[in-house]
Amino acid sequence: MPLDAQDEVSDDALMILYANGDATAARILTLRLTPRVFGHAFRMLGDRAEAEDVAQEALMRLWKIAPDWRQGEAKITTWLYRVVANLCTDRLRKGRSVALDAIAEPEDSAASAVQQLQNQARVDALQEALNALPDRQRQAVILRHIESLANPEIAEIMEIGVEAVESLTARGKRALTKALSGRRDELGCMDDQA
Amino acid sequence: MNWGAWMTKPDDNNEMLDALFAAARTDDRATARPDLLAKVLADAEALQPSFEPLAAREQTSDRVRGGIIAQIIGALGGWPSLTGLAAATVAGVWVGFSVAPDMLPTGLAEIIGSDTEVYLALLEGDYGYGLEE
Repeated sequence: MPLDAQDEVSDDALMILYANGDATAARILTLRLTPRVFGHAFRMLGDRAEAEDVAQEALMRLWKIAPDWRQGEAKITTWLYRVVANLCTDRLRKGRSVALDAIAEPEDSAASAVQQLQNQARVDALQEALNALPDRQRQAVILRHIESLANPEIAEIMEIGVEAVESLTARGKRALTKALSGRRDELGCMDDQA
Repeated sequence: MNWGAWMTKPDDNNEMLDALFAAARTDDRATARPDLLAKVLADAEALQPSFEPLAAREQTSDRVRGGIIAQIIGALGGWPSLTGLAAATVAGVWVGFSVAPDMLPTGLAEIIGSDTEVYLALLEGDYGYGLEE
């Protein structure tokens, strides 16, 4: 399969090709799915190293199930989001081992360093508030408001109804507002220094 | 992103959260690093099912066909046992024909025990063989 056709091929079709030994399909699926899986795991856990482990494990399960994948039963991304959520929940139950301030600083140029710090502080504040939410509320808020999935797809991932998704996101947002409203000045002051 | 906007509208909590969500969407730390992609691809390649080319598969099935005969011979004890089995079969047939002629049915005794040239000729209506000289 030519690489320039990769955007036109569905995940399902790529899975068939992968299961039939197509090396290009393995590459396209890796490049297409890993960022989404890692991003979701990172936002669920707030820890890069653990999120990488979860992403690798989730995709390992996908490669193993590929020969038996049943077309049309579930979207591959939906299945992956479920696996990631389960793996993250397992890790969170065992205890969060890395604090937010232990997250490695990104390597950026000095020109954008101040802006980066501002954004990091805000994202860290949000992540800290997300981490304090119950697992299901956090998952629903991340899927809806950061990963921008539609409620029906979130409902399928979480195996609940659309109304339950709306309820979870509403309660999650209320809790986030409550947690972050007291930090407006702190986060806003950094903006003033820019 | 206009961070001042939600600062100047402290009651607009949705706007504040939307701004934070937008910042999270563009956070570099949520981007997969190349070394993770390399690990995942290595897993994908290691676990990918592989198939033989069609020509190789045909050769394999030929080998399997030959193998079935070999397996049957092997199950009977190999070629030495097979030749012994064939010899025993021939001997059994000979013994069957060598018993005393009076122990055979009349017609059959005449066939193998006399000088008369007889042969099986007609298939009669009752499905018995008739003897003709």
